[in-house]
Amino acid sequence: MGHLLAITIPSWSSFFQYIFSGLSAGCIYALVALGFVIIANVTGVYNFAQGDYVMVGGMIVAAAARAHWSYWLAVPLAVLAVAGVALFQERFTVAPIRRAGPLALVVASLGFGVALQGIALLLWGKDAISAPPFNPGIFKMLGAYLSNQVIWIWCTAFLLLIAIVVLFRFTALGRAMRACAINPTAARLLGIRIGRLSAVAFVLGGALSGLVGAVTVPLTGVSFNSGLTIGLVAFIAAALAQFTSPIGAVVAGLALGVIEALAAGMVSSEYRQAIVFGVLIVYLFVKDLIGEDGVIRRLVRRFQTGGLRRGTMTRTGSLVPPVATDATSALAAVAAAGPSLARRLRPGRKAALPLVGLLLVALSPLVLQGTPAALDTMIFVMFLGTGATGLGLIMGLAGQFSLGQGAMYLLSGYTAAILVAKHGWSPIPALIVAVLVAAVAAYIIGWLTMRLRGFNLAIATLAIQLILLVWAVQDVGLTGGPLGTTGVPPLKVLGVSLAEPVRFFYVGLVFLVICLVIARNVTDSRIGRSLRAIGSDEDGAQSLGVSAARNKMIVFVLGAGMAGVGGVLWAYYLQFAAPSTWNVGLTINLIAYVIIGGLGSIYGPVLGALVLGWVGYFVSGSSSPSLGGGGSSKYMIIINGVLVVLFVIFFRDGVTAGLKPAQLRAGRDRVRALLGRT
Amino acid sequence: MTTATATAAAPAAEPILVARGLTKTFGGFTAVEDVDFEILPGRVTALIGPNGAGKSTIINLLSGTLLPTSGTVTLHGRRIDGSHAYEIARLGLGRTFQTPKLFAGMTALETTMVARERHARTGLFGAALRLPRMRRDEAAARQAALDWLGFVGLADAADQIAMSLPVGHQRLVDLARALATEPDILLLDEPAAGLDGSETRALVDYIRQIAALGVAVLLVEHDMSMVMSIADHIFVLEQGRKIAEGTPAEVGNDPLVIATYLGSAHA
Repeated sequence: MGHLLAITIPSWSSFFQYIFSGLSAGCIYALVALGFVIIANVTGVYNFAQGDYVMVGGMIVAAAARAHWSYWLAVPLAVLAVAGVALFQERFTVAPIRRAGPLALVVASLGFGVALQGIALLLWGKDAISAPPFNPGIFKMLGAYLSNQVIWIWCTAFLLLIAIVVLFRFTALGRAMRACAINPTAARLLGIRIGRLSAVAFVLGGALSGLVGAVTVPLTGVSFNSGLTIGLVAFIAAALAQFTSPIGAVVAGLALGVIEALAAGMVSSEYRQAIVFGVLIVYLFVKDLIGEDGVIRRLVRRFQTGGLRRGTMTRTGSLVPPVATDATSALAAVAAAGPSLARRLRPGRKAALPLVGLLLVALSPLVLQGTPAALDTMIFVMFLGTGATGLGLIMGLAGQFSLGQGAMYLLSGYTAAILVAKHGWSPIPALIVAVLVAAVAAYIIGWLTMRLRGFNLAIATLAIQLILLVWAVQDVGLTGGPLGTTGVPPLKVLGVSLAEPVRFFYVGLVFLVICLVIARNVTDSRIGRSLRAIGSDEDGAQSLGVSAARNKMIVFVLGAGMAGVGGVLWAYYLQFAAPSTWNVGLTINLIAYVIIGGLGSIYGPVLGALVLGWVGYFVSGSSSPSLGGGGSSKYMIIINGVLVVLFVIFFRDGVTAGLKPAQLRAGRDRVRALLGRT
Repeated sequence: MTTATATAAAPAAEPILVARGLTKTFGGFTAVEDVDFEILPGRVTALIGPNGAGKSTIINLLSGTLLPTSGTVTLHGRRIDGSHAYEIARLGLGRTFQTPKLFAGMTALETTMVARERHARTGLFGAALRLPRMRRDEAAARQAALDWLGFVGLADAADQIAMSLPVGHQRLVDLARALATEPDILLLDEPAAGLDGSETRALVDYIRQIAALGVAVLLVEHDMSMVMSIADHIFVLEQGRKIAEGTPAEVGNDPLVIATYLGSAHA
């Protein structure tokens, strides 16, 4: 990094100032984390829309304050509205897919959150808005000056905590919720209705977050995407409490708030959130070091066992099956008589359809040449397609949820741009180094998080993307700051200029096809087979010598490398690297491509990118859909979010599988079941 | 090629697997308490005992699915207690499951090919670029998997989805894939459960052949007539403790065993 982060020792009064403002922020994190824990415990859902509840609550109060409504009306309204939103989310995006597995539930909640952001952007615009304090004025405590609003925040948080403790400890409802958290099956057998409890948990979590948003908006302001960091920090607090201890989540939330405020005051206000995310990384690292399956214990064990090496084969001979006996051939006859239906069901490699699609894409410049914006749309589909293909492998094949695919674009895009523009490298070596940087980064992130259960990978990768975005803006000396790295020359390889759009399109197409071929080969290979085995039954796969962590890591690194290719091409095409290009919106878009194209399909993610790219082109009606990565059009955010939710619920196998009649029927039945239920 | 035949020919061989003071507690409940045993190559060793005696817990402790609370397990003279299940599998310990843990959507052949992972020599690059070396690997894996499916009489079912097969055949796929790892020791967790008479007889025959190859077999089974006919050596477990061991004849005549287990089973 270009500059060192120096620590400033504060005076006592500023020290208390930091502590108190940290406690206010900490109250937000603590209560939202509490909502996470309640919902995760009762329903098993890691609700990524939780931070957006805070945003909606804040927005309603801010909008009401602008219309000069009384807070006595606005705050209860905000709480009710957010509770209603949460109930809606539970009924329509959680209840129908309760049995579809954690990945579907999390992706649906993410899509719902994105849709909320899009609606907020549409209703209230993209600038931050605020509201006057409930009781204007400030007071002094231990040398620190504090807004009266702080008292409101602290008191609200305190009363809510007591209410939650009472609810969980002393009421039948609370007991039912705890029972449900410990053993849902047993709870169901005892007559507890999981569906109702799930709804109650969401309403409770929604009301908590809505109230937090309502009370804090005079102090912090609110914008359509402010739920992201709140949700992330609160998620970290909940993760620190292992998603089980409500008290632990509250303590962790308060602590993170104080750490953030101290970091802002004593180190750097730009890097304050990066430092909080750093706490998460350190936590994951330490946990990996000392945990049940941590590095230290493994080293001790390795020492005890006298050096157990992976894959060591001690037997000298090989085991060969003896020739079949009478008994075996009798059984073979029975087996042969079985139905051959399964044989027909066996997935064959149908290369015809993708090839035709690819040919159409390859010929598209003939038609689009006249309209630069349309050609641009296709070119961006190439860049987005590589990373989406990689994410498709990570999510569909390895069953991992990464929220850092955009970060890989950013890392490799900047690496290539800096090497080419500032150090005069030629584009090919710069591309190779940049892709390797992304792959190595993925390896380190994977090493830190893979062995841990739950959605630590998603959180860690999202945190890393946010840290990288701060770095890209702040480290002006290296990255060029907010303006980005400029001066990347037009692409020229071996004296042939490739910068002209039609030519660049074919450059992109070549790389996309390479990524697709690799994705197909790996899916068909023993790595793909092992990962499918792990996804179906991890114990069974392990008993055959298959390492889950190792195979998942291979695919995670490979997927990151594919995103790296996309990032480099992107930088070469635009001839600069800017922080706004590769923001969190890009990550969300990539997830949308994978989900809409079809989880587990090789070509699906590219199809998803193609479909959404063209939807974006027609909706925004103008230039490239993705010059901003995400957020290019305010309608696109809602469309992305809503489509993700709809596809997770109705067409989980995506567009590619949706083309098959059986899938269409299944989707229609799910629509009917949902309508019948409500 | 030498070990397999040599060990089979020399019955007094070194034990492949040794457990010493093996103990597992779940909270306050002791499922397995201070159990010692040795398993010899080329022999069928049976582990019997009433329900809840700790038989499956021992299988899970040996294969790395559970971590022992105390005690040691050595495989080929190496400590394996505390290692991951996949590491132990790669060291030559194969196992089957009470309910076969097959893979959804995979054919019997693919399921068995998963077991060839430790024999594969190509990594990501070979797989991504489909190098000739990787194709040879795949062909070898396919052949080995087919051979083992053929051994259990399922060569013709190779292309069928494993989970759609009848339960008896699912157990055989589970056995074939465990064998395809080419284990030195094979743990069979109630392999005859749910099989009819002729299927059980075929299974007994397979187990004899496997032992004849020099593989150490540890059999957990409820079917006493099957155990008595096939086992070279029997351990009797009750409430987590080993109460007797010996040849089928010795165990069958042990008054303590008759009182606690065989008596009730034969009644």
